[in-house]
Amino acid sequence: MLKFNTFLALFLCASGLIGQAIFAEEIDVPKGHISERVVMPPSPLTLQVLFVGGHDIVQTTETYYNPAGRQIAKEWHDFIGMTPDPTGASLGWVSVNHEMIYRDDKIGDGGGMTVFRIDRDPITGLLEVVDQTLEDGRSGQYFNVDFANTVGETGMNCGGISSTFDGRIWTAEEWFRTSNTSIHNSNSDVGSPTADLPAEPYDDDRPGGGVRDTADFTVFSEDFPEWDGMILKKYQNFNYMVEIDPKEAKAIRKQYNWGRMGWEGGAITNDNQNVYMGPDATPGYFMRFRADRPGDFTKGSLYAYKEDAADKWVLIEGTPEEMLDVSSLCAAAGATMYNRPEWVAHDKASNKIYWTETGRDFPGSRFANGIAAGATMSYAHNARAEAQGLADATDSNYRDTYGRIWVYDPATREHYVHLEGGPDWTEAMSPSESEYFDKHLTNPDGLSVMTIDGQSFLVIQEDMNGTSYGRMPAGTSGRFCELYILNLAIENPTIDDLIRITAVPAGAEVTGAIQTPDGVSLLVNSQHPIVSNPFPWNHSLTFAINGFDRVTVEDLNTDAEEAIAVKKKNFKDNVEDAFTIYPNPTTRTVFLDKTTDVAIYDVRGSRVKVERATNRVDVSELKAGIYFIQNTAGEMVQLVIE
Amino acid sequence: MKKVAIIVPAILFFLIAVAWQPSPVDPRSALDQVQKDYLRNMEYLSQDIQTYYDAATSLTDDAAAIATLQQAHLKARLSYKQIEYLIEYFDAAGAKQVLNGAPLPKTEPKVAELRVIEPKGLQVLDELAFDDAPFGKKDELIYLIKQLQSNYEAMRAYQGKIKITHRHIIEAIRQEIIRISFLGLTGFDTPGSVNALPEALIAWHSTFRAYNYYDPMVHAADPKLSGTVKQLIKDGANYLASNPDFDTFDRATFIKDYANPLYGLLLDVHHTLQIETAAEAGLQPTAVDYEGRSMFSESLFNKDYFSGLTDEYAAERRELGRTLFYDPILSESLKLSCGSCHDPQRAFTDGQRTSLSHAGMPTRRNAPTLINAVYAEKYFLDLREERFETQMNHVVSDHNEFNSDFIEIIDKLAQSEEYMAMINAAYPTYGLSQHAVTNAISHYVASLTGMDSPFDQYLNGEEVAMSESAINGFNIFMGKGACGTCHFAPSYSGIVPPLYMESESEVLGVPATPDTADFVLDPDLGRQANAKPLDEADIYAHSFKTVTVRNIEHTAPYMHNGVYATLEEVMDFYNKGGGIGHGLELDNQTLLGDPLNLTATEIADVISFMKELNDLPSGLAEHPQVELPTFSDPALNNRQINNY
Repeated sequence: MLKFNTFLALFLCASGLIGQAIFAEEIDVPKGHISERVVMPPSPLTLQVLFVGGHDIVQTTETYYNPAGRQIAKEWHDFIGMTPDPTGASLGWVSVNHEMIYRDDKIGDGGGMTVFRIDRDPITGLLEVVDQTLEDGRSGQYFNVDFANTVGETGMNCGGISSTFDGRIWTAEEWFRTSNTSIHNSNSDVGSPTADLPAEPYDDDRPGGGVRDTADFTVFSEDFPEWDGMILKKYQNFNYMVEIDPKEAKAIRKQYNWGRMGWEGGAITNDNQNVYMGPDATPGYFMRFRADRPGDFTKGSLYAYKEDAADKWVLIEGTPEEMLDVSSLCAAAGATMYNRPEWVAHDKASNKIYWTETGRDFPGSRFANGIAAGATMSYAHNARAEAQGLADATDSNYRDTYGRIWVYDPATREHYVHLEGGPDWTEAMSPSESEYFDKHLTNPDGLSVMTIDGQSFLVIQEDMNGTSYGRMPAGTSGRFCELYILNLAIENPTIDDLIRITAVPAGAEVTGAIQTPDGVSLLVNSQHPIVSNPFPWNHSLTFAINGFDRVTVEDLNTDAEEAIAVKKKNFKDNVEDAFTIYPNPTTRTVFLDKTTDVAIYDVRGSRVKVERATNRVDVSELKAGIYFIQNTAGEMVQLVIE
Repeated sequence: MKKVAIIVPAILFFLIAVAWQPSPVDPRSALDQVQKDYLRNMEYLSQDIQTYYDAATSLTDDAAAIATLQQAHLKARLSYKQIEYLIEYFDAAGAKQVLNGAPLPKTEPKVAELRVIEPKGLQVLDELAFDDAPFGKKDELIYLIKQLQSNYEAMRAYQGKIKITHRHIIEAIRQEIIRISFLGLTGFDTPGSVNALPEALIAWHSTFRAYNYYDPMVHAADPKLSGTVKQLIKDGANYLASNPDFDTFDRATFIKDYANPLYGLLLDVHHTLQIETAAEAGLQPTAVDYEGRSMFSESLFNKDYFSGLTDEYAAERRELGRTLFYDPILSESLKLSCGSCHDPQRAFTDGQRTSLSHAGMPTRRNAPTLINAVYAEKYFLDLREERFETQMNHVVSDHNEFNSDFIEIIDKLAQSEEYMAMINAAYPTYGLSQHAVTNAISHYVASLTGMDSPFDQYLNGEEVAMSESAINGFNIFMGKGACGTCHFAPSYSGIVPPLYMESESEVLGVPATPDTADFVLDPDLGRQANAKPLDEADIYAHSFKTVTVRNIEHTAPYMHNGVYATLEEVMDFYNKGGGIGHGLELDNQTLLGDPLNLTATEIADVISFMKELNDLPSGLAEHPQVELPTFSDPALNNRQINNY
């Protein structure tokens, strides 16, 4: 082997350029002097699994003639709500959405939520799920939120609202339903799942995989006199924002007065009076509900954003029957269309609203339908379409591959794109060669704001629509979603400013991220991972990233140029040009002084990692130990990972 | 199958002429050459699409104009074949989505809306351009070519900026060997033009041209390897060039003698050149195990990718799983076990048309074999489950089957000291839980695999007697019979090469009874009624998973409803064009309806071939020796292993 290594080494030295060097599979470990030895301390951040779907057991209420008891928790974890404990007896209550619409004899058909109470162990610093006994007599750790016996079954619980004012929680029933058949999930009683399904009461033996009770639903609510007593088709009792009581694990009310839409996310501003919301659809609209009095969201007015209107918001009003389809009212009012508005986040410090527009590959025909119904096109989409050589965004070839994040300032009613996803591969937007694939943002979905070291950061969570067009590194086909944070102090940020905090297991969507009230942990959901991940990561689960109290803004610095320059200055003159690296223990990244190919060898001289044409290496998967990093020029640095 | 178009363009001779020019011994130069070729060939395709567009806009009903259009189509496709190995390697999803995906509608993934996306790209165009009357489709052609142009140019902007590395190139070459062998040569993407052979030749040349740039380096390190590879490339090209007829092309010989050996040798090239692996580049494991040397072996697949199982306590878990598999304790009635419908003596099927419930009544569907079942993206005949490990949850909760839930099962198992000892030994961290039960059974079911049948051995060049009939059968299966365009090699199931990450389902129009005179559709809605909101589209009505034909000799009766008792009946159904060929009116049928026109001998050949695909895991034909653990509740100890 030695002879051959020498042969290859010839090219190594000769090539000089990046992207093409060949590194030997085995090297002789350097003995004696090595120009640099760099130590990467352990990360201040640690992972802790809190709640595993399809594994942990929830306490159920009496449902469908089954007595109260236990059941394996549902999966498809999406939104996480955090309700601080005002008594200080614990950190607070965590509410987790289950984005599904499947039958379950004990939890209730449809989707659902699980709630649990957490506290922090003062010695280990870890979170613990606290035992509770609820008013209805249930005892345990995890509790199914009772929808079936309170406000009617729920479904497709995607996003929601976790009020930054007082921790009130709403769950959003996404995916607009249009027939009883579509909530019953396929049955053979009517010949075809898309044919209309008759209204029939719950029967254990009905064949549907979803909601079996399709009998008409009578609204019983003193909160909404206009709706009280209204008889709905069963499917019309879905697609609301639904407030729940996380302490007693039961639903409080479906928010009929906010209208029926494929709601996804929402946020409440510091006045505790305005709710900003996004419905996941194309066309989708940026919505606002303004309560007449702070804190009482049962009375008030609904608005949709209209970019070309003088005061920006148009009133959306209608009879209770008309409010069963708010999207149509928005289109008729000429509201501005977007491409899948999803989560909405609120920054308490600035009182600004941020929201994700997830994007969708070819939205043109949907926008055209919206125009026909009276809606208007967002300036951002028409500008993008023009850049693609098309007349406007209604063209069927218009592409919106990556999505973006918007910001809205209630003080000025200004609304503009805060961060464009990408890279979009057009000349102007292409990233510098060394930054891709590390620097990219694909289909942002979940969104929240967290505070690190006194500074607000946007927490951005991907849910990839697909893997095409560079959304995954070339030559890979699985999905791999990442969670980034973005310092809100940065004006006009680009994807270069994103800081990668975690990636969830293969195939999963990362979502739900929310900070604990003590600032120490970020709770995150990993939803629908593929089976090839090891247990419990092959289930939807809620985990915590602990240790943010020990992270400073400086620790998250992704621009190592300055640090490397300082370091080089400290060298003696003759090694100033030597290969220099700079480790960031928090993000588990090793920065390089220039763009190069690198190979990492373990302590025995076996090659374990090769990265090409890069100025940074993610070493998060490397075990603690001694490594050697070699660059294209053959220079070597010792890296000690602790 | 409309007509056979033979096109041998000038470009082909050009390729043959330049293919063997020596390249400098320098990895940088090799990479630069590949990149240069790629950029140039992408530009050629751009020009060809423009020419194709022009031919469509000036299309008349005149024979010359139609010929011009068809030539332009074939030229564009051939140019695509020159870049196929890289463009599809780099962006498999994008290529499938907009460039050369199957001409079938799909539902849009990841949106909160049921939206059917009409197929686009070169395969749809292949059907249109070679339609009986293309002029009648002029508007559609113009629309689709314009769309192709828009999408291709966006794709090209991205592809042109990819940082190509050595690893990409060798991996792409190996992937293309699978693509040519199992897709291109079957006529998969040339449904109208049937221009599969000339396309395969172009793809072969262009792909191995990339190897040639590296050959001097291989030669310097291992002259023998270089010599063997070069000879096989050349011989394979000659074989393709001298046997251009789609129906008579001998795929068995081509794959056995050239494609499959090269697939293994290119792995040696990868390691000989000391190029890093995908794992070293930080990438996740894939369905294809890159270290596999043969395309006809289980080693082609990465079982862990499909199963998610780890080696930890594997023996204990498999043994626990085997016990649970045959133990009716899992069912409420204490009558059914997994083994009731998956009998090892029948290759893990039950011989019933449709399986029997705990009350002895027929259920909806035929029990599929469990052998190699792990190799799928989705499970059950209606594709309702995406995770191997949670398959059994459906069986547990189904009122006709186990009619139970995991809380009941856990409470029962807790009453058996024997079970608790096994569970604690196998799952020391989590103990008794739903996970322990489903994971243990997964370990056992995942062990039921085998792809070393006589025909695999034959294609691997091993010393094995193989009848002419079976070899002919393979060639028909993979060619004229079009079986291999859905039952993809080497699993001969619906997982799609070359990535094997997607399970397909098809609308065949399977009848309720075998009576061909009174042909009535089976009422089962299949995939459309699988309770997954994104599958509720009408395109999935009566759609069923494409199952494997491995071990098919032992898995009668056949089809989702067990309607056919013999393979002859199954072949007759397909030979007459499936449901549509029997005059069945049903939308979205996958089969074209044209009779395959296979002769009785050809049908017998296909059946002989399929009967050479038996590889039952060793010892399975015997009655499994399972001691059922005892329980503290004596009522539970009366249960018995089922009478399979």
